[in-house]
Amino acid sequence: MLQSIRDRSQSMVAKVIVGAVIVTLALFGIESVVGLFTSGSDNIAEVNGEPITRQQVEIQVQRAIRSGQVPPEQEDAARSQIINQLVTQQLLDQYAEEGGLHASEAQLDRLIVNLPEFQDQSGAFSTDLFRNRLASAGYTPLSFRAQLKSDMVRQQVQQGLAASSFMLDSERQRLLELQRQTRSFRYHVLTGEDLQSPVEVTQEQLQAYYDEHQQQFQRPEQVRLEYVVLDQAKIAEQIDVDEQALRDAYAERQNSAEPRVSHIMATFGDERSRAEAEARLQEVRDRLAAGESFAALAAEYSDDATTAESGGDLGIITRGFFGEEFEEAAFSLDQGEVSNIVETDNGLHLLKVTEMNVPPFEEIRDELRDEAALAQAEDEFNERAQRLIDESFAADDLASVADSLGLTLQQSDWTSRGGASGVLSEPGVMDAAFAPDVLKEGYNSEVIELDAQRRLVLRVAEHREETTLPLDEVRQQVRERVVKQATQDALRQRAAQLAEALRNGETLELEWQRAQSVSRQESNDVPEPIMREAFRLPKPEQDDVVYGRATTEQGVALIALNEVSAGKASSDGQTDAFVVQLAQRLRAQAAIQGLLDDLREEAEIERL
Amino acid sequence: MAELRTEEEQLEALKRWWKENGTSLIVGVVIAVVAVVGWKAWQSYQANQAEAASMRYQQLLTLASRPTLEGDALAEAQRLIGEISDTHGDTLYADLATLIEARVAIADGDLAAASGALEALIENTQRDYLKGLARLRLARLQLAEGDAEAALASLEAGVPDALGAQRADTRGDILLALGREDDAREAYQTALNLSQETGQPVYGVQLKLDNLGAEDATL
Repeated sequence: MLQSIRDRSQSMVAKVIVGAVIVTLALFGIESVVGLFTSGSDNIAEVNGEPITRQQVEIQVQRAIRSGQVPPEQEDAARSQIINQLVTQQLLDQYAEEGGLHASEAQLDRLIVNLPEFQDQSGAFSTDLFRNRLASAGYTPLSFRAQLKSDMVRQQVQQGLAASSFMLDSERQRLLELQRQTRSFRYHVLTGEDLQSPVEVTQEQLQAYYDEHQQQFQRPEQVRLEYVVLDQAKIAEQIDVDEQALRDAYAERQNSAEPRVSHIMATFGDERSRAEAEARLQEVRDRLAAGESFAALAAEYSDDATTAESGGDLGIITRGFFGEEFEEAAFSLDQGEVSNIVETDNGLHLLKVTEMNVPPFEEIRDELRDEAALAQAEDEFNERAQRLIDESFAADDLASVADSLGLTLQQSDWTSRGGASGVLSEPGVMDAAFAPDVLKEGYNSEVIELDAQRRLVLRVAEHREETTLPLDEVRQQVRERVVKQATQDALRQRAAQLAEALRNGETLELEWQRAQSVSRQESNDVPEPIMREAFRLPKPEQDDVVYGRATTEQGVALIALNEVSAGKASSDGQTDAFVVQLAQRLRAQAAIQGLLDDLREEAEIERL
Repeated sequence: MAELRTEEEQLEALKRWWKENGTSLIVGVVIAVVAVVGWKAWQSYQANQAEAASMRYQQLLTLASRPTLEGDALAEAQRLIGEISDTHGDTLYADLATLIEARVAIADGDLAAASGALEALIENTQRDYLKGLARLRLARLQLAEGDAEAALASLEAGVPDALGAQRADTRGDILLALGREDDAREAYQTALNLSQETGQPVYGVQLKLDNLGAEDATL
């Protein structure tokens, strides 16, 4: 092989080729040659032979997720949407390229500089903003420019189709005339009571209806379940909490609760010695013991001018501000108690707790009990949860497991996968019931962790496939529907008879409701089906009346249409403008979508 | 290969090699350089042309995207369309500009000129979709000018299925103008069905259909 190349390379032609290859490599780099031979398996699709790479798709997917447009659990749906989108873009890119469309660097520069996303508050382009925005969206300046460039030419195609679409005056006029059209009519709703005799239905009719509407009588796949729930709260109910534990729990609460404290302060230093200050506070204590009020004494004695007048109130105190000795005293007092003398950097204090933010013991006794019991039940719960795992795995039934663990074996009704209620409707439960091991093999399910304090194990007691219910089981439903249908048929006939009689000039005692010059867009109290049918009736000639009918909730309405007129322009012209704009936009969109559909139809798109 | 023993022998071998191969190597290099330079020059010429077309077209889009077009803007748009057609005749820019030309002419109240532009595009373009789109638009113009027969002919000359709902809607309008109410009703119904299938609503089809009166509701 090598020898033969060497032989042939003696020839003039080969030398010229080698020379050309060398120059090409020198000028364009290795990619130009390598690119020719590497068509990767990493392509997800090919559009007219041009690849869409996995990398391209993943970059877009990640970008969509990172920007929060797509929640991570919808990644797969988003991926197929993005592939689709990339195919569309590729098609448009090819169309644009083949058509000689182009965006120059200068045009891109201008576009970038004018994008509001990259402008600072004064409206000037900011390089920092540009870099930051790109980085956060996962672009480099180069890849962003490339993206922008193909966006720009694609836009040129789409905008051309949109901007060239038009609406002719005659079209506009016709559309508005139809839109504004008003109709005047009367209507009378016939109900089952208007029939001379109630409709009767035969077995054959029931059978026929049943045969024709099988899918309405489907019952989904269902299971009947046995299950046990291990609940920490249930275990806790059976635990006795002794009085001391409750007291401890209360003390714990108090300890961590933040009390409201008043104080009387005596400073010492230049003017007063420490002993004098202490004596002063001792005097306060004596007077308190004699029954005088803390607030009054605070006003008289306290050196803390900011609080002396308000009974010494410091408000609710938090740990970490007043020094250890002060806090130790404050947090250990009960409501109304006064402390011994404590010292801080400011001086000496007497403290009184005026308010505990913990309710009195008796009031929260039950709450404390439950809390304590739940905490004490934790070990028991964990131990039983482990046994539940072991035993339900080993056992061939659930009843013995329930017995062994002292749990109640519960039974469900027939339940479809999406139709569960109560604890069975919690996440994961029905999924477990329909897992093959459980459904088909009949094993106990794995232990389902409903939350930190509840476990559930289930077992399929009975299972039935999706089925069509036999007529006998649904006879009542079928009858109701057949009767309803037959009634409506009879009412339609009745309406036709009435219309015939009216046309023949008979006068009938009917309670007509009137709708005078109503239009589609203005709201009125005519039921919607009647409106819809009234606007579908042919126009009456001159003084003629056109009769029609509409099926409503209550029965069948007989409609007598007497007038159709073109209607006037809305007073503010806004509705008209809106209608025209909407029609225009839909036309423009159709032209663009049409191109995309057409390209897609003509293209060779291969999913790899 | 035998080892070359002395420097002189090596020098001699190099000279011999150069004598044998030098000319072809130089020719190869020269051809490559000429080809590359030529290609680059051609590319840059193309790029310049394309850039000029792109700039003009972008300007035209800005003008044509306005809701109303009159006075100086209209004249400017017409000038740009002329330039694009003259200098970049075979590009997609030219085709799109011709479509816009029709819209500009309509804004100017000149339906005949609009028809002319669309006819020219149908005649000249190689792009089938645009040809079909132009036929659809031409049919609407012809109908507005009272020539329903010609409109029907334009429509039947071929409008792509991707525009099926629009095509059926316009067909209904034409048939109605020709007094063929039942056929018109059928066409509108087709338009409605297609628009529902593709999720591309066509405004007003339901209104037109209703206005023709429905048999099933009548007593």
